[in-house]
This record gives sequence, structure tokens and C-alpha cells, in this order.
Amino acid sequence: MSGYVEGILVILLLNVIFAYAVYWPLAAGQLNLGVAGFVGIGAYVSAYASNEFGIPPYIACVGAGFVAFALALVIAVPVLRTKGIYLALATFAFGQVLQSLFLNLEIVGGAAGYPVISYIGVGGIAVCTAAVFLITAFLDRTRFGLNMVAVHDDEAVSDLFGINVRAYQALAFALGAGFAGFGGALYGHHFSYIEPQNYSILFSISIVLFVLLGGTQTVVGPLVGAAFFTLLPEVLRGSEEWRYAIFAVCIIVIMIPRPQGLITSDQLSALRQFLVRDRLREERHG
Amino acid sequence: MADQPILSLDCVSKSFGGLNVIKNLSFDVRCGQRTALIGPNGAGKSTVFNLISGVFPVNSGRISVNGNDITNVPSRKRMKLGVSRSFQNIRLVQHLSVLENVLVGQTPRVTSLGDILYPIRMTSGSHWQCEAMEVLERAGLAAFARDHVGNLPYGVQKQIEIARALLGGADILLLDEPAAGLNPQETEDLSTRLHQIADSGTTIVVVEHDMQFVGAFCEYVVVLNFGEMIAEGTPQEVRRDPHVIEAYLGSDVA
Ligand SMILES: Nc1ncnc2c1ncn2[C@@H]1O[C@H](COP(=O)(O)OP(=O)(O)OP(=O)(O)O)[C@@H](O)[C@H]1O
Ligand SMILES: [Mg+2]
Repeated sequence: MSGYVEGILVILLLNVIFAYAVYWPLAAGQLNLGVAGFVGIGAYVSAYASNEFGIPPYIACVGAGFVAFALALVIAVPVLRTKGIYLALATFAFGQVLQSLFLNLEIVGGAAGYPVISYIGVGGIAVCTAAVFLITAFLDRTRFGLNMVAVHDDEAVSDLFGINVRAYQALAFALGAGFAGFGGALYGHHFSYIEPQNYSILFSISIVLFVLLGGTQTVVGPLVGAAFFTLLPEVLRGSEEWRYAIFAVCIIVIMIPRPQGLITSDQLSALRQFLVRDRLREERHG
Repeated sequence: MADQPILSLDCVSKSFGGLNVIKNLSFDVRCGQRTALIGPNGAGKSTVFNLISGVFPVNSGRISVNGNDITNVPSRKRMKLGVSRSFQNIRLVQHLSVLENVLVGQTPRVTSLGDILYPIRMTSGSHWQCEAMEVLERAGLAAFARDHVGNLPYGVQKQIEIARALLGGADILLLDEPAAGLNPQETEDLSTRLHQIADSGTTIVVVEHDMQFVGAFCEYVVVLNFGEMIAEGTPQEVRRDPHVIEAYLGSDVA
């Protein structure tokens, strides 16, 4: 694999993890604009753990994911009291707080950044991305996923049917943060250097954008969105100075006819019915 | 204790802002008795259901189910204690299939983490799914099981709401205008279906404007006007009651 292809593949794999970090809160109806902050938490916690205590890199990454998860559960208590754009604002503010914390923490290098000694290669990241995808796809097929859709669509009815709405909302938020932290940890261990500037609001917004572009109704949507966002700018590399403008136009052109994202649940169930019909026909003829 | 009411409201009052919507309302529902709550538009019928299911807290008074005071029990836990309901305006989960909506109805009985993390949407053999399919079959809805609820006819959606409410395992089913918007054939099917449900031991309370339906289906009627009870008794008794006739004057439904 050439260095160029490998570089893009790593970014793609990490973007898929970040996509699911944003997908879970969105599945419960929350726009998390502080996701970059949780990515940073994961990156710094894992880097510090493996640099200072010699903890094996994979354990440090998974552990950092759990730290981000736990922090999000605590933060969820005040943050999830707000709704809609206020929730987006609260998460945005929290993300800013974390970024300035990274900037000012001298033990992890402050503004100068922090080198990460141990290394995780593209193969390891691929396995981790597959794990994140499989966990998400599995949870989506359980009652947990079913109840999450109910909470997203109608909180009052979910509550009457015995679903603990607050708990589900907090778990969705924390699960997303956990994935964010895990992805951030892998990023640091692959690129061997982390710096506070990476964890800005722009990063949060671009993840949210590609998840919205892919669609939040199904678990495949974020995957498609991440792939599209990572690969299209590369395809457009030929027209160097115009490529981001063309990219932006492409997004707008897609969002006009498909405001729910590229992949919707209606589409998937139509596809499923189509496949089932095909199989029935084969059985009849075969 | 056969005569202990299964549902009992004791001097319940509710106001929204300055508006007294329910005033000192008391009535009992006996176990197994098919009961109707009727009254003109805005009388407060849906509000009574909302108070029983805990959507709003009462301002004063007491609500009990099976002898347990549920007045201060959070809404989330009331279905476990015995009251389930449908809604006047259909409130199904639009992004789920018919079967999945009905599975959500089982939530009050799902307690173990294993059940919550079982891939129920991927397999079809679990007892939860068999039970849900059985209820759909009995309601004549099996053919729609995999369809998205949003695209189905109104009458079918109303049936799904009843199926979902039934699966919570509650003893009391509060149905808010189950016959509204149904054609005569659908209304008759509904009546047959509700009789089946009642015969299997569930106590049904309906809010309904269709007096023919109430007369045919219900054994006991509570009449509400401006948040107060103005009459109660059998459908025949209530129909002759001068207060009821007065409340409905101008609209000759009573
Ligand atoms: N959440 C609320 N906030 C303010 N007012 C309310 C609320 N819910 C109901 N009301 C008011 O309470 C009164 C009774 O409403 P309710 O919906 O209980 O009537 P209803 O008997 O069910 O009428 P209908 O037959 O039209 O369904 C109405 O005046 C209504 O405007
Ligand atoms: Mg009403």
C-alpha cells in the first residue's frame, strides 16, 4: 500500500469512528457540538497513560474511551437539561472549555503539543473501526436501539411505556463521547503527536456535517457520510484551488433533494423488501 | 374483595393556569366493568386520562389502582402498576415498523439487561416476538407487521395503538376515542375485538363520542361536563338523565 493510500485510509477509518461518536447523540435527538473536546480527552488521556505509565497502547485507547464515557455521563446531568439549540450551545461551550484546558495544561505540553511514543498502525485502527461499527450495528438491533428510536420520536409516549427517557438520553450522549475518546486516542497513537488546535469547533462541525449528509436514521448513514467526506476531496484533487468549492457545491446539491441524508430508513426497508421478493422468486423458480 | 374498585378517583382537581379543567371529580371503575367516560367537547375527558396515566400531576385529590395510591407515582412506573392507554391523536413511533411499535409496548415487563441487549430486531424466534405477533394476528394486523406505521390507513394505526397498549400487561386499558374516524365496519370489528380483550380479563375504560358504540359496548357510563361529573349509571339510565340531556342540548346525540 502506498503511503498516500494508507494515509487516506487511516483518515477514513478514524472519521468513521468520529461519525458514530456524533451519530449516537443524534439518534437520541441531541446535536453534540462539543465532540472535538471528547476526542481531545481521549487523545490526551491515552497519550499520558502510555507515555508516563507505559500502559500498552490498545489498553490505553480503550481506557481513554471509558474515561470520555464517564466524563460525558457526569456532564450529561446538567447539559441534558437543555434542549434543541440550547443543548447544541451547551455542548459547544463545554468543548471550548476542554480545548482551553488542553492549551493550558503544561504537563501535556500546553500549546506546544504533546508527542505520543507508542504507535498503532493502520491494521490496528481498521480492527478498532470495525469494532465500533459492529457495536453500533448490534446495539441498533436490540431493545436499546428500539427504545432509542422511540425516545427520539416521542419522549412523552416513551416515558408512559416505561422507558427511562433521561437514562437513554444520557447513555446516547456518553456512548458517543466514548467513541469520540477512543477515536481520538487512536489518532494520537497513529500520528504520534497531538496538539490543542486539533480539537476545535471546526472539527466538531465537520463531523456533524458528514453524519447529517449520510443520514441519521440508519446505522449505515454515518459510514456513507464519512466515506463521502473523506474521499470526494481526494477525487477532486485534480482541480487544486477549486476542490473545496466544488466539494461544498456537491454537498448542497445532495442536501436539496435528500434533506434526511443520503441513506434513509424507508430506502433500506424498500431494499430489504426488494431482496426478499427476489429470493422468493428464485425459490419458486428453482 | 371482589367489589373493590380497580380504578378509583377521589376528589381529583386539575387546573391549567387559571382554568379549572377538572373539579373535584370522584368515580370508581369496577373490575371487569366496561366503562365509558363521555361528555361534550372540552369537558375534560382526555385530561382525566392524562391525570390517571401521569402525564400531568393532579392539583389535589387521589387516584388509586388496585387499591394502591398512584397519585405521586412517576408516569413511567404507572403502567407496571396496571394502567395502560391509547391516545386521541395517534402517537405511534413513526420511524418503527408495526411489529417494532408493538414490541415497545412490552417495555414495562422488560426488566433484565439480557432482554434489553438481546438483538430482538435481528431475529424472530424470541418469546417477545411470538407474543407480539400473536396479538397482531388476533387484531387482524399480522399482514402489516413489517410495514412502517406512517404509511398505513388511520383505522389500522388506531388498532396498532390498542395492540401496543395491551402488551404492557396492564389490568386497565384507557382508550381515548378508539372509534373516532372509523367507518361502520371498522367500528364493528373494533367492538368485537374489545369484547375479546374484556373477556380475557382486562378492564376497559373508553372515552367516546359515538353513543351507539357506547350503548352497545359499555355497561357503565360516567358523564362529564365542564370538568364535573353530572351523571353516572347504565347507558339507559344516563340517557334519561335530565342533566345529561341538558348538557347535550342542541346536539341530539344523547
Ligand atoms: N395541557 C393543557 N394546557 C392547557 N389547557 C389544557 C391542556 N389540556 C387540556 N386543556 C384544556 O382543558 C379542557 C379540557 O380538555 P380535554 O382535552 O380534556 O377535553 P376532552 O373532553 O377530551 O375534549 P374532546 O372531546 O374535544 O377531546 C379544554 O378546555 C382544554 O383546552
Ligand atoms: Mg379528548
